[in-house]
Amino acid sequence: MTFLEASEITHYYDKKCILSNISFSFEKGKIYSIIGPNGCGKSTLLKILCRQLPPTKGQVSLEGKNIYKLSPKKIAKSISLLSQQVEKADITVKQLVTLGRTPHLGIFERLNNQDMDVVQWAISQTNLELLIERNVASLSGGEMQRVWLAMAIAQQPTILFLDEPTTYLDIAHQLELLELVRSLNIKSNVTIVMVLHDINHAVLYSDKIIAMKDGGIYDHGNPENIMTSKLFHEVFGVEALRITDIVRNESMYSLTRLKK
Amino acid sequence: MKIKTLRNTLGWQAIMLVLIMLAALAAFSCSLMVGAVKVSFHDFIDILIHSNIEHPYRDILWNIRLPRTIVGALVGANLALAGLLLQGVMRNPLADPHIIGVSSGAGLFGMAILVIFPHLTSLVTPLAFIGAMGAAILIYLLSWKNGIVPTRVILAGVAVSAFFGSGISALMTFYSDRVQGALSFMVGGLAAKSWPQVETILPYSIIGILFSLLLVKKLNIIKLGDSVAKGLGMRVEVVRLIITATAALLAASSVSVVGLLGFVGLIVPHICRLLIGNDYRVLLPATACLGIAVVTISDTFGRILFSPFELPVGVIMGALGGPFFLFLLRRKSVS
Repeated sequence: MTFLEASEITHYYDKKCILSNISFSFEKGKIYSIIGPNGCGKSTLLKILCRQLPPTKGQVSLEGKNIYKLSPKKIAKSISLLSQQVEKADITVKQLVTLGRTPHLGIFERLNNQDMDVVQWAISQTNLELLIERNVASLSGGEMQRVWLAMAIAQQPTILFLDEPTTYLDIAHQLELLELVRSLNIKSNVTIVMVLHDINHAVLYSDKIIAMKDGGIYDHGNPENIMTSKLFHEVFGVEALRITDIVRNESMYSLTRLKK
Repeated sequence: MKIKTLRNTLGWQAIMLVLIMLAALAAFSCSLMVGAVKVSFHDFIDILIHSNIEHPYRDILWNIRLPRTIVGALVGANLALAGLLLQGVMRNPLADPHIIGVSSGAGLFGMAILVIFPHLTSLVTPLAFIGAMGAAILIYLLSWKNGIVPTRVILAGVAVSAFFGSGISALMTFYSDRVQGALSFMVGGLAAKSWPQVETILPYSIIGILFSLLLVKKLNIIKLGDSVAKGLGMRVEVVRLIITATAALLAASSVSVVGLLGFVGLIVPHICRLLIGNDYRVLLPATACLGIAVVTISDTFGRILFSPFELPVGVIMGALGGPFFLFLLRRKSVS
């Protein structure tokens, strides 16, 4: 079932073509990872999909409706975004997570018990119970990322977008965040679309991978099928060796740079 | 770190807000009682509360000090709020209506009406508003590059300020015979402000303050960045325009009454941020009250410091504000 659909997206920035003629259908309840080298347009595509950046041409529709024609508030009830760079906000954790309820409130409406339950749920999902009175600016990078994720899920989106969510985290926190995202997907059936740099993370944590190159989609599909040595060569310019961890039954790739 | 945590607790914020309100009240009363003629607390109560018409000081209090203090209080609240709103929306802690040229824009347009069409005084504030808005939009255009770049705001603001300032100087040169109290206009002074000026500024202040109170929630979200605000369903460009227009209205109404009074919008919001934190629900009322306190008390000092000479309140604000500006610059570059 098509859920979110990008059709014929083309985007220019200062006359430079960033994305050319991209069409793709996202299904409900799956985890998608967009991968590709620097400058391939993956972050731009993500921004366009989550209504942050209107494309030069083409449209994005959610359940058949053009997201750039719907009111921003309506969209914010179904779509939320965790940005790559999070602000060091001078605000308590609880206050920040509570702001995630904003799109669900009318202009003069106050938070009701149901809203507070959602906030509580978001806080417990992200294991922030002990930090709720802390100032966000005083938290570590990993904690801060969890707080912003909590705000994003307090919006109760049907689709959650994440733009390189692991960039500023150490390895344990990277895995923690990705596991959190996966559990959200499984428990609450939230569709996930994320941009990831680490190919092994993308392979481990996604149902579908979209590989991008030079502003277009190079290939897409299940991780096992599309991660071919041809793709590694042509998209990333690396040599990949597939290793299978027989204990956990997972594949991963050891990468070396292609000699020119 | 401890203060930061403490600052975000509700009790602390409530206490601070009450203290600032009391300070505003004290400064207001002080400005009424102190001056060339000292009015004792007893006389003060007698005249204002019991409305004793025969009291010898009634005229001084009722027709000179009270309107002057009210104008000072409104100007203080308006400029402080204008500064707070501009800092929030331009994401730059140094955005003060005076420094970035919003006041100069208002001043040029207001003054043009005053000297070229002196009979159209009721148009002064509306035109000053257009000037202030024009200056603000010009700053945006100059500092915009894929969103607002905080460091460019101040640079663009200095250019805009110089541009409108030169317009003001040109007007003063051409119409030197018609410009009365030019000096008082340039530095911002409360001398000889009375009931007519209260009538000019009051309606705009009420509109401006009401609008800022309605914007509290939006300000709390917009401070988290454009991307987050958009993600939470805000029409960021529209909200930004409304906030800027409110700030321009507040600044313009002040400028058209007291002239180019600087630094109130810089000092006051900062002290409030230090005392009470960044939550606009308490920060906004605190800023308005502290604005009242700072301007009325500065004016009182201006009146008594070199009595019988009177220093314009703008001189006092400049003397306090210059060093404060440098202090903020240093603090920023260290952190």
